[in-house]
Amino acid sequence: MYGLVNKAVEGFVKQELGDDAWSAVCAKAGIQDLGFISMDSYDDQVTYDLVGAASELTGLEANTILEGFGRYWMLYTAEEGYGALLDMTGSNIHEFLENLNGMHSRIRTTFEGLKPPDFECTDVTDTTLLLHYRTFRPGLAPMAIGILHGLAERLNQKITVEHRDKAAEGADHDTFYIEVIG
Amino acid sequence: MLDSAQIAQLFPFFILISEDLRILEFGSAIARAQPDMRAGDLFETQFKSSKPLADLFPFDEARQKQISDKMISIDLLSSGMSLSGQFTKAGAVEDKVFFLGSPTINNLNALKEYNLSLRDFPPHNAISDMLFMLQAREASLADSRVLLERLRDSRNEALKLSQVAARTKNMVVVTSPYGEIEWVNAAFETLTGYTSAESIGKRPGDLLQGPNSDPQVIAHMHDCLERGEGFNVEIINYSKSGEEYWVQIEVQPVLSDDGNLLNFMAVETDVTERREFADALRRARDEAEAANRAKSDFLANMSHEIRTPLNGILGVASILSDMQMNTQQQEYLDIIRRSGDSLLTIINDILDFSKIEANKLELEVQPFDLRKCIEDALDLFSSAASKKGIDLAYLIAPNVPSRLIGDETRLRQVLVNLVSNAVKFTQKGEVVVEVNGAVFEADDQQFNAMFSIKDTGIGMDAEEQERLFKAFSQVDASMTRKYGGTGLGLAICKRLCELMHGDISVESEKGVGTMFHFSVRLGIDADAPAESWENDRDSLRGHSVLIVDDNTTNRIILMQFLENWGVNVRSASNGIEALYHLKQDNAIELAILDVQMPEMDGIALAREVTTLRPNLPMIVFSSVGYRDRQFEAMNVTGYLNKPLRPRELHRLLLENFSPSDLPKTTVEASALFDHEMGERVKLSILIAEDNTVNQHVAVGILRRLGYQSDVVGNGLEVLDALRLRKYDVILMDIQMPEMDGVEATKRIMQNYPEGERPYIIALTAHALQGYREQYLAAGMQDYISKPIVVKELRAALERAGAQRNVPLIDSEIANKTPKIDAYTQINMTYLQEIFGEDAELMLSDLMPMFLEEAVTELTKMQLNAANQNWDGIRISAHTLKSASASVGLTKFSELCQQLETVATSDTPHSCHALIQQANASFAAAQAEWSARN
Repeated sequence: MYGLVNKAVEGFVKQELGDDAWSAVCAKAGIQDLGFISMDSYDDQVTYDLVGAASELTGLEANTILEGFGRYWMLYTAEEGYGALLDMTGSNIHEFLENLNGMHSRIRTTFEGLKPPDFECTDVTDTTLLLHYRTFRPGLAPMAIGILHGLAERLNQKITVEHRDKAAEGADHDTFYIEVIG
Repeated sequence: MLDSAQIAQLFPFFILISEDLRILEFGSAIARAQPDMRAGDLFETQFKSSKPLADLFPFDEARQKQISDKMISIDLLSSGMSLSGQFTKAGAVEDKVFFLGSPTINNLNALKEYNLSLRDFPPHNAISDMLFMLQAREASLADSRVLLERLRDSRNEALKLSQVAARTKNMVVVTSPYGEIEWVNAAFETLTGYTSAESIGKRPGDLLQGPNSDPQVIAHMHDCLERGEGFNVEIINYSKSGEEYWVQIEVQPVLSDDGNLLNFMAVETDVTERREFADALRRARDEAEAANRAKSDFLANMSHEIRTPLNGILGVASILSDMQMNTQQQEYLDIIRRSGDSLLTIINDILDFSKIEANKLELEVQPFDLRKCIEDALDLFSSAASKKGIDLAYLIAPNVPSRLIGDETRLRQVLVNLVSNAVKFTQKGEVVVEVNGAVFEADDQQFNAMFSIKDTGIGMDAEEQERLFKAFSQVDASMTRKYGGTGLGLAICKRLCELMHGDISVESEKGVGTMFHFSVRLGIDADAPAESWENDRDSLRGHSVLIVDDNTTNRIILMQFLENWGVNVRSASNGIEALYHLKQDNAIELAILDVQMPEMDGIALAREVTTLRPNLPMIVFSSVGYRDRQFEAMNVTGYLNKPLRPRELHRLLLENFSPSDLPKTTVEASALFDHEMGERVKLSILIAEDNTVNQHVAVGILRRLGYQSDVVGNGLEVLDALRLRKYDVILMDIQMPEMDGVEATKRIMQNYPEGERPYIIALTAHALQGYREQYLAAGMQDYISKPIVVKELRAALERAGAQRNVPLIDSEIANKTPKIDAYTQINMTYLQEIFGEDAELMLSDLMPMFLEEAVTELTKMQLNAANQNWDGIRISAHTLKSASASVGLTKFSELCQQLETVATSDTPHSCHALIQQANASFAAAQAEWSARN
């Protein structure tokens, strides 16, 4: 994972639990609290350890934390200067999700070795679509759900997300049925 | 060739321009950026350029050949978006050109400004990539700024710390993981004398340690360094100039993030001054402790050294008092006893004060009778008070429990001291002790007893009162000359009261009197039964008694008790009044008369009373021991001592009114010397005592109690004596030459099985606390202090007898023991056998000569014993054997005979014990001879 993600985890923990909690999470995860470099690539395990430690310290399910983090991710990246890029990716859920792979493809030129997930929209109607989410990283479907909700918030839309196929339960990949309700 | 649709898809920013400079078509992105633009608009109405438009469009080039690939920049007029691109021919036509460009954007915000979307940048267009790159640069820059800030903070922190390290007065050393110095601060250079250059690369130990550096500490330091652990030690180091100094070294390992050892950092503090100060303190403490020990030892020794001769003086006085003496002798003896007693008091005062000062005084916690405690204290002054005509009385408030728990001896000591002063400084009037108080609020098992000792004496002014409770301070120096005393008494009282959770104070008026108040907290002994007189409400009820006393306090006290028992009381303060009552009231059945009254004294009154009411029983109220023959002719039925004892008053009244109600009491032998004791409690007694005077005293007292005792002079002789015969009791002195009493006791414990050991009573002048336990631990069963108090000795012997289930004198041994008069050394029967009627005469001629000679021979014998000159002993013994027989000292003679034999035997060492016995026998003979003359 890029440092950007770990920085977002840091921001999320600090926002939700306070600065001291972040020190505790780092200590628990066995990671020195020296800050992350956005454009540097870190072992995925660092991110998993941070989420695991936060879960252990708060007593919250890792999935709950991941979903919360997904939602935060949209806010964070916008704040970190990617707002315009997000804006140009799409002005509604449909457009955004359609352009998401394109956006990821483009940023691979700057994020060397980036292994972005793949998003494919099928069964698209004016208000619904089925999002196919494929990733090398297991267990991040809750984060994807959080991202979808964060995205809808950003685009001033209201959506429901139904997690239909679950990779964690043996499905080929995760699918999310998204309905725009306002 | 690309068709229009392809161009529009690949180039969202294209513009198709005609030769008359009109816009024919344009891309979707331009349409979004400049919504008011329409096809057919003149180019100049929508765009501008830095170049003249005519020069801009390459229509000529288009006609002649391919258009050049020059980069052209144009700006959209309304949105301001800049486009960079190039012209190209629009197919085969020559009057139209395409402008193919993309926005010149170096700022992500422009995307929003121009309403651009991701689809406006086809894959071949690198602008969006550039934008992402740009954002990546922004992110990296932001990271760099954050990291730079952190770095700056961290550097500032490091700078601060390094400045602290560099400038601190403590030495700071940074070493490599292998212990070689990498950095030292200025203080290190100053204090050690080694420069940084001289130090770097060396190990601190090699540089700084020397001969007096503790090798164990060095080894410990090495161990810790090997393990990569920190440590904190103190060690002697050496400066470059060889100067020794103490340093406290705190070493901490410096670890990298991944836990690897990077450095050791040592902070070293010069603690030489502290060490020296601590050493000085330790030395001072040791010296103070030694001094304190020396003081205690000195006090113990002083007590021993002073008490030993006092023991002699008071003991002999005690024996003498039991002998017939003329008045003058009796007076002299009294002087000896009084002087001895006051000297003893002074010694005890000094010892007490020292003990209190040294916090060595431990209070006893024992149940006691408060009334008895006060009576005992007052008894001591009863006689003195009587002689001065002072009334002595005490009054206990009804709410004061009579059975309390605490240190009776110390309470009595305070009382004695205060009453003693009161009596001493009062010439007329009274000394009254009053007790009241209240249950302690925090604990209902404790009682705060308040005592007051009131006198009508000389009194003191404020300044004199001020000095009262200070040690070694008397009201003024002339007091010492006039009244004696150490000046410690009140200081001791104050300390004792404080030890008993109380305090002491004084009220006084010059010429009027003094009242001391003191309080102590005591336990309440709720379990103790009350005495019969206390709750008696019946046996005396209804009887009528007249009390006559000029002293109001006494009258009040008497009245208080009598009324409490239901007695009808008439009270008179003088004879006239008393006679008036008697005349008026025929119901009066008994009169209690004070003896010392002004105008008409007790005797005169008694005489009048006898005339008036010949059968009226009278009780005389006076000081202890007061008897007057004049009363014998009158109906005096009893004497009541001052201070008034309610127990005694009750008994006397019962004797008069209701004899059948008298409680049965055990009559205690009142005589000081119970001559029958030796018969009653048969014990063979050995005295171990090195001081001949003390031997003399002990033998004398024991003889008065009916015991024949043997004497030895040290522990070794005790062991020898025990080999010769069996003793039931040993009175064991502690400090003796050769072998002391404690060691001798230990040996006896080892050598004799239980049941065959004598009962050992420690006999010592050691008055300091703690010795008693030491003696008992050694195996002694009992303890009496010197000077010997006859009562104490008797009690100890009674205990010994009880323990041994006497009579115990072994019949076999008794048979072997020469049968001589058990009570005397001078065997008159024997003398009469030799000299017949002239025995007495011969004795008076011979004895003085013998005594003189014997002293010489006995001295020789002791010297010879010390030098193990057994033959010398034999000769002296031989001389004394016959000489002593000729003056009737048969026991002494037999001892000399035994000596003669033993001196030539294989065990001449037994002579020591025999010589001591001979000495004792001789001393007893001397005493007896003196007594006879």
